[in-house]
Amino acid sequence: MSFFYLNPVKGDLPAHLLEVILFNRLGYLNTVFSSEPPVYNEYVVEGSIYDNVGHFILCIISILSENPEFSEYILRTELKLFKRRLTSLSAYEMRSFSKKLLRSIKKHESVPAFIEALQVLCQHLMLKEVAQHMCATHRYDCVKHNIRVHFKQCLHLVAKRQVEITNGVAVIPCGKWYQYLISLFRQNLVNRINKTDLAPLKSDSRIMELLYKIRKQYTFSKQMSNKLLSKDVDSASLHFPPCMLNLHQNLRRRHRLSHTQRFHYSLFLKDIGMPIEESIEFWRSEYRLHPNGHHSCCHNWEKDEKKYIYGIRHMYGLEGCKRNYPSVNCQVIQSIDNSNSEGGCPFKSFDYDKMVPLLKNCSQPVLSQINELKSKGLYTNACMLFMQNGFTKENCDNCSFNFTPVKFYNMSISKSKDAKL
Amino acid sequence: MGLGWARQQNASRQVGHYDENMLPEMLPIYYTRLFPQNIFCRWLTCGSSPQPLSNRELSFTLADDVYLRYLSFSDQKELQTLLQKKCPHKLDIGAVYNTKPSVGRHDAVVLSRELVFDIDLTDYDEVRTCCQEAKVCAKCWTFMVIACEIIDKTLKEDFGFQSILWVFSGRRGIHCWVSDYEARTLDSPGRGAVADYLCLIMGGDNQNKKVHLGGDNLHTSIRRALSIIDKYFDKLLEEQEFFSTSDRLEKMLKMIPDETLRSQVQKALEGMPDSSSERWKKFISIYENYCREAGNSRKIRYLAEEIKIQYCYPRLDVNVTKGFNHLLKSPFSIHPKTGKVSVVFKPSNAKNMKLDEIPSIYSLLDDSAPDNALHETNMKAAVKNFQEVVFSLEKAEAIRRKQDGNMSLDF
Repeated sequence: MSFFYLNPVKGDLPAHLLEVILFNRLGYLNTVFSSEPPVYNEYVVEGSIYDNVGHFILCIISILSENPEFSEYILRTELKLFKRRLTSLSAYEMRSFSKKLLRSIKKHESVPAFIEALQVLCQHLMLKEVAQHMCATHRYDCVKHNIRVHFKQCLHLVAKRQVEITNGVAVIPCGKWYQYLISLFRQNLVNRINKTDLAPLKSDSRIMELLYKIRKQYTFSKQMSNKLLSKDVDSASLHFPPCMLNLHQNLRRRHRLSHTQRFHYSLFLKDIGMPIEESIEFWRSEYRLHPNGHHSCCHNWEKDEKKYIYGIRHMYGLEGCKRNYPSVNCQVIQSIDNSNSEGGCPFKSFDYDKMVPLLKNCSQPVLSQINELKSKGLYTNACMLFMQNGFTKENCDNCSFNFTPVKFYNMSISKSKDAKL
Repeated sequence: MGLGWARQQNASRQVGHYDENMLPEMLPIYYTRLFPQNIFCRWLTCGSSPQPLSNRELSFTLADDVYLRYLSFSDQKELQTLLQKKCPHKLDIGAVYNTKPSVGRHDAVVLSRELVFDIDLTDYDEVRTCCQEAKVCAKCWTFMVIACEIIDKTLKEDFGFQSILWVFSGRRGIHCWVSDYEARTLDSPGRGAVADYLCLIMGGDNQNKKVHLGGDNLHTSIRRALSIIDKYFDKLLEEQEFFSTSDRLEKMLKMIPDETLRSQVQKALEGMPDSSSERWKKFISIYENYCREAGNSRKIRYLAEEIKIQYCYPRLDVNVTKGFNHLLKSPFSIHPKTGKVSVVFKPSNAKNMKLDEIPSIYSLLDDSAPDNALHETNMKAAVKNFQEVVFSLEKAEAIRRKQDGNMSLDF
């Protein structure tokens, strides 16, 4: 069995052992997540039966938990584990890893297109010369060997222009093969978590008991139920993350926000507890004013009231397809980079002199720490550091993988409450 | 058929002043006589296959901004009836669903959709100096010419797409529709990746330098884009005068990350005559000198290219491309504010297009209008351009279906 986990093992196993395997694996993944050096654990030996069982049972629990945050955590840590294992392979191990993978691919009659790409890659990696080349000190920009795949099979490399494409075929040089293999692992895992139907398992009491135990151990952040009124937004904005504070200030100053930013800000307000009536009131109070300064908006509340109310109700899941939109996380805010917009993550896409005014009560040492994180591309960490105002001792690692403006707000509020007590 | 009423109304208004209130009377005639219904249906039929045409969403904007979504039609006759009955001021095209959109509505599943690109001149407001917001002129059109050429080449050479339709959006931008089967069935992550591949300008209002090419060798697509920009850069410098005033110069200086170089450039350029071309030449010579003398210039290895890209490279509305079911204005729809037809044009001819020669509904339906003859000719040419794309799409679809047929016979 390879640690790519293409197929689950077959056979019998006592149910109590399943629990031991599961909790050992979770514990091990926690250490992987916090980048502690690997410690031997008999249940997570790479390629072993327990390793395979542990992976699949964890996937099952993650699907049944129906908790996107938990699934995201599993995805990230499993990915990190895979990366760690892959990069520590010797040439010999690399060849046997590829051969095992090829054997398990051949067992299937038809495979999805990305597995075909995996097959092509493995056919190269199993060659002695190639494996030795890969496992010697290998440069990221090495182009000695190449594989050709359809551009749809390497989208993340296409998006960053890391591969040359001709007529729809991308050429992936060996310097990027590890990165590519990791993305294929991710795709396989995402497919598994999103597309497996486990309804029959819901009546299995042994699995449900495991799920119960996991739920008890890993409680996830709950939404705050404080009601936010339109008139209180200014005072609440003291606890806003810089990105939302920026939008708020822009709105107060110019009385308009561009489409996407309005969408993000409304959803943020909704998720920190603003009810629909208050939201309508809030936007009405701004949009009935004339736009200030250079803004291409030609709408106002009087003229377009119906449209605006429809838009707001839509976001609350009361119109159209009646979908309740969740507010966006940091990843989305950082990835949307429209060239003509007032918003974005201040830590990522603001010049230094534009960012600093948004960081109130920030001492010089904290600012220089923030700058350091910023230059490393760790924008979310910079934001968390700012929220804690330099006190990194408090552990907020467990939320760093899916940080959101709403979480920032909730944590900032609870921090100030603690301070008052 | 006499158009006396149009002439009468024409007499009471000045040339060039069009009245939106006339649209309800003119649109039915336009849709019947001038809108290329037949080709339009064939284009959408091919673009919906293997689903029937009736699974394609069409949306109308009526007078007073009333939206009608989830409309559909199964043939040309139904389209004609629909157009006459509702008289839409604007036509938008949506996705292909697994069922008739009017039946499925919110529960219908999107199966396919042309890969679309939307480029709007308002996104160039921070660089263009001739116009702002809704205004456009011949000078800013050059930005669209560059955008069209770069995107068209990338889609053809890199991604191998063939059936690419370029459409004037009706006021201040252009749209691009890719109908290849591969493009139509591309999923959301795929669309996102193609959009990101084409996006070089990142960052919002709060960032001065928005292009970062790094220090490694440039990607082929970027080198190609730069060679296209170079063809037009001198012209743009002259027309837009990017660096001629102190404000504009300051904007450019802020893009230089290296402080020593920045102050050198500032000193030299501020003491020069206003001409942007001269200032650019001077900047290049200072910059090249600086790189030669300074040892580690990796960080500013592509500074000149980065500045060129920030001023000239296409600025896509990525949300339109990334969204699977984003509605987009149909070719040959009328822009309700300008009355202009969303004509189809050849990318090779983009540089010869003149905004006031783009046919408008008012001059097309008024045979006494001064532009009438010219606009009619241009309308015919636009329909012909549309036909050419649709014919080649039909051919490609026939080949694809034949291949699919052969594949299934093998089993």
